Amino acid sequence: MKKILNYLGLPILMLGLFCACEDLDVPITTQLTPDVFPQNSAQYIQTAGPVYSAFRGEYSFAWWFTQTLSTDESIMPARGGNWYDNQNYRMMHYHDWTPDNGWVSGLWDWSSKVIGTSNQAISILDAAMPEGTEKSTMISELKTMRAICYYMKMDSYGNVPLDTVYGDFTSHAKSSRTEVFNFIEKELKKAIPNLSAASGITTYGRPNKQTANALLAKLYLNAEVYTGTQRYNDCIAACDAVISSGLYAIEPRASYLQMFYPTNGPAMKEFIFAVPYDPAAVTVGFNGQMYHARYDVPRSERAKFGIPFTPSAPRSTLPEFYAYFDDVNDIRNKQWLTGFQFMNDGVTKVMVTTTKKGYDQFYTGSDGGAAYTYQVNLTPDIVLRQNPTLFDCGNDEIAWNMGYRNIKFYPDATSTSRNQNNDVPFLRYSDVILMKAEAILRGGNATLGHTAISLVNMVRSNRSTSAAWTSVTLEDLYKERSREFTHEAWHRNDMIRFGKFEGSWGFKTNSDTYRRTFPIPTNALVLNPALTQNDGY
Amino acid sequence: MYEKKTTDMIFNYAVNPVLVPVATIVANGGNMSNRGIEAALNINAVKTKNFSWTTNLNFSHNKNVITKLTNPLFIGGDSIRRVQPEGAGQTGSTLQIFKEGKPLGEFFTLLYAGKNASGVSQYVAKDGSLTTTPAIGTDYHYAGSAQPKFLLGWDHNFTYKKFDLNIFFRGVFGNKIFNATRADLFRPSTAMTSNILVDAADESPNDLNAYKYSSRFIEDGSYIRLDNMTLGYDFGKVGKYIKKIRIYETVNNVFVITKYSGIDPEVEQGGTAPGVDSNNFYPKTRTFLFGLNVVF
Repeated sequence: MKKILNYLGLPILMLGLFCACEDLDVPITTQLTPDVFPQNSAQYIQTAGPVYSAFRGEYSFAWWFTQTLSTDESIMPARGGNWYDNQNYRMMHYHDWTPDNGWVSGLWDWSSKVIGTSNQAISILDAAMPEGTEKSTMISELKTMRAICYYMKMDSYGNVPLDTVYGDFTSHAKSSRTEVFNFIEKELKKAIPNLSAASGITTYGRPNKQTANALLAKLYLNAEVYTGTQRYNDCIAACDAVISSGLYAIEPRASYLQMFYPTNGPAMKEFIFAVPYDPAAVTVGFNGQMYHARYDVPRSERAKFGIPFTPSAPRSTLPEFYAYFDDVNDIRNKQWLTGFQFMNDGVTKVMVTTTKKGYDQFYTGSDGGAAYTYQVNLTPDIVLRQNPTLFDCGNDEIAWNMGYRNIKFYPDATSTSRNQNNDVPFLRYSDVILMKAEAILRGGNATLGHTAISLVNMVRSNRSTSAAWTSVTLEDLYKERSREFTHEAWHRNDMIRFGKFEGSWGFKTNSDTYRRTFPIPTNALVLNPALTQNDGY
Repeated sequence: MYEKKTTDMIFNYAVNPVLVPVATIVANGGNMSNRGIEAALNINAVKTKNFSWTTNLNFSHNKNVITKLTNPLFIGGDSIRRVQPEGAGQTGSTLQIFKEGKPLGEFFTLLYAGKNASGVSQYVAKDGSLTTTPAIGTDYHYAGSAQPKFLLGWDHNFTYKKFDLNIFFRGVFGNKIFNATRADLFRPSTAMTSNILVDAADESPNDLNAYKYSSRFIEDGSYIRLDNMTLGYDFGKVGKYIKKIRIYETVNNVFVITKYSGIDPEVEQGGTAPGVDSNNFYPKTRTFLFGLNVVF
C-alpha cells in the first residue's frame, strides 16, 4: 500500500505543480491599470488633475521670481546673510545669472514637468475616452495648458526642445524659437473650436476659448521679439475675439483692489485664466502654494494683517518703478505700503521696541543695548550698507524697513499657514484691452470703433478719478501696464518688448542683450545630452 | 584574495521630467567589482615562565570600481553627481560622483586654488584657468576616494605573573573625508549671528566663497585608534569556596591618532555615500569599565 502511494504521490504532486505554474495570471485588484482606470467622467477629471496641480507648483515661485526680480519692479536683497541663497536673488537683479542659478533651473524643471505631465494625461485620456465632445474638450484643455507652458518656456529660454508624445524617451534637440512659436499658435488655433465657450464657475481654473485667444494675442503682440516678424493685426483679431465674446468686463475702481483679495475667485469679471490657490485644500506633497505676504509684509506688521506667522519680508520695489505711481487719484496706489505705518484704523501707529543696536547695527554708542521704541517707517531706497558684494542691507530695523512693499495679493488672515487663498490671474481682460491698444499704437489697424486712446481710457476710467487722457504714446502705455499688472509676472515680458530690459536700475548696469533669454540650466544639459547652451552663456 | 562582481545594481536615476514627469526612474543600471586581499598573522612572540606576549595582526585591502553605469532609459551619461549636504546657500552643490572606472565614494567637487589678490577664494575652472565664480558641476574635479587603501587590526595579549593586559589597535589608511561640517561653519560674514569655527575667523568677511564645498574641505581620514585596552589581575583561588577572583578595568576608545580636524575620523563608511562628515553622526564616547569576576 505504501509503495502504491509512493508511485501515485509523485505524479499527483507534479501535476499540482504544473497547474500552479499556469495559474499565476492573477487579476490585479489593488492597482490602477489601463483596464480599470480611467473609465468615467469623474475619473477622467482625476486623470487631468495632475496637470493643473503641476502648473500651480512653481507658478508663484520660479515663474514669479524670474519674471519679476529680473526687472525694476522688485528686488530681494540679503539681510545679514538671510536670503543670499547662493546668489539666486542677487543674480536676478544684476543680470549676471548663470546656468546654475536656482530659479533659472527651477523654471526649466517646472515647465518641463508640466509639459511631461500634460503629455502623459493626453496619452492616457486619448486611449481611454470614447470619441465625443467630452473627449475633444478635455484634450483641448490639456493641450492649451501645454501651450501655455511652452509659451512660458519659449519666452524665457528662446529655442527649446518640443516634446509632445508621451512614451517617446529619445532626447530631443532644441527647436528654433520660430518653430516653437508656430507650434503654440497651431495648437491654440486647433484647440479653440473644442474649448468651452463659457466662463466663470464652470470653467474656472481651466482654459476656455478666450484663454486660448488671449494667449494668442500675447504671442502675436510679442511676435517681433520671438520671430522678427510683426503680427499686430493678428493680435488685434485675437483681442477682438475675447472682447466680442461679451464674457468679460473691466473691474470698477471701487473693487479693483478686491479683485486680488483672498476672497477672489470665479466671480471676477476680468479673470480669463487664473490659478486657484486654496490653503484649506488637502494637499498631497507639494502641489503649489502662494506666499506673497511672506516675502512682502514687514515683520512689524504681522498683527496689522492678522497673519499666522511672522513674515520674513526681504522683498520690495525700487524707487524707479514706484515713480510710475504718480497720480494721486489712482486706486492702484493703495497696493503699496509706504512711509509711516499705521494699524487698520489709520490712527494707531505701528510701533516696534528694540535696542539702539537692534535699530541700527552700526550704532557705536556705549548704550547699544538700551531699549529703543520707534514707529515703523518704510523708506523707498535700498542701500547695501552691510556688504555690497554680498547684496546685503544689514540685519537691523533700518534694513528691514527698506523698500516700499506690495500687498496687492492681500495678506490672508484666514489661512493657518503661509499659503494664501488669493487666486492669481495669468490672463486678465484689462490685459487684452491694453494689448489691443498697444498693437494699434504699433501700427495695427483699429477695429470695432476702438482707438488706442479709447481703449486705454476704458481701463483708466476704472482706476483713477483723474481726467481721461487725450492722447497716448507707447511710453505712456508702458507705464500704464506697469501700474496695472504689478506683481502679475508680466514685467519682464513688457520690458523686453519695449526695449527696456537692458536699462540700468537699482544696482544693475549689465546691458547684455543675450540676457533676454535665460541660459539652459546645467542640470537640463545633463539630463538631455541633445541640448546645447544658449548663445552668450 | 577575492574578486566579486556585482551586476544590474538598482538605483534611482534622475531623468528628464519632460519625458518622465516624476523625474526619476528605478532601474538596473550599474555593475561593480570588488577585488582584494585579506591576511592575518599570529605570533607567539615571547613566552617565559612569568611573561608572555602574543600578537595578532589583520590586514585587508579592497579595490572597488564601478564598471558600468548605463541603462537604455537613463540618458544622463555615464556619471551621476550626488550627495547634497544642502548647506545654506549651496543648493545644487554635490560632493561625490558615480562614474565608470571610479570607486564608490569618489569625491567630485571644486578644486580650491588659494585666494586671489583681493582675498577671495578661487578655484580651478574646467579649462584650467582660475575663477571666483565656479559653476556647479562644470568646474568640478576628481578629488580622491572615501574608501581606504587598507585596514589594519592589531591585537596584543600580555601576561605577567597574575596580570593580564589586552591592547587592540585599529587603523584605517589612505581614505579621504569630506568635512562638510567644517565648510558649513566657515562663514566669517555670519559671525554676528551664528557660531563659526575659530580658524574661520582669519578669513576675510568679503570672501563670499569661503564656505563653498571644495577640495579645501577634503582631508586625509587616516587614523589609528587604541580601540580597547583591558588590564586584569587574577587572585586565583581564594579561601575554601571561591575558585577564582579576577578584577579588571577596560577602556574603550582610549585615543585616536589622526590629522583629521573634525570630531572623529570614523564617519559613516557604509551605504552609497561614504566618507562625508556633514553634521550627521554622533561622536564616539570613551567608556571605562571596572569588573570583578568571581567563580564559586
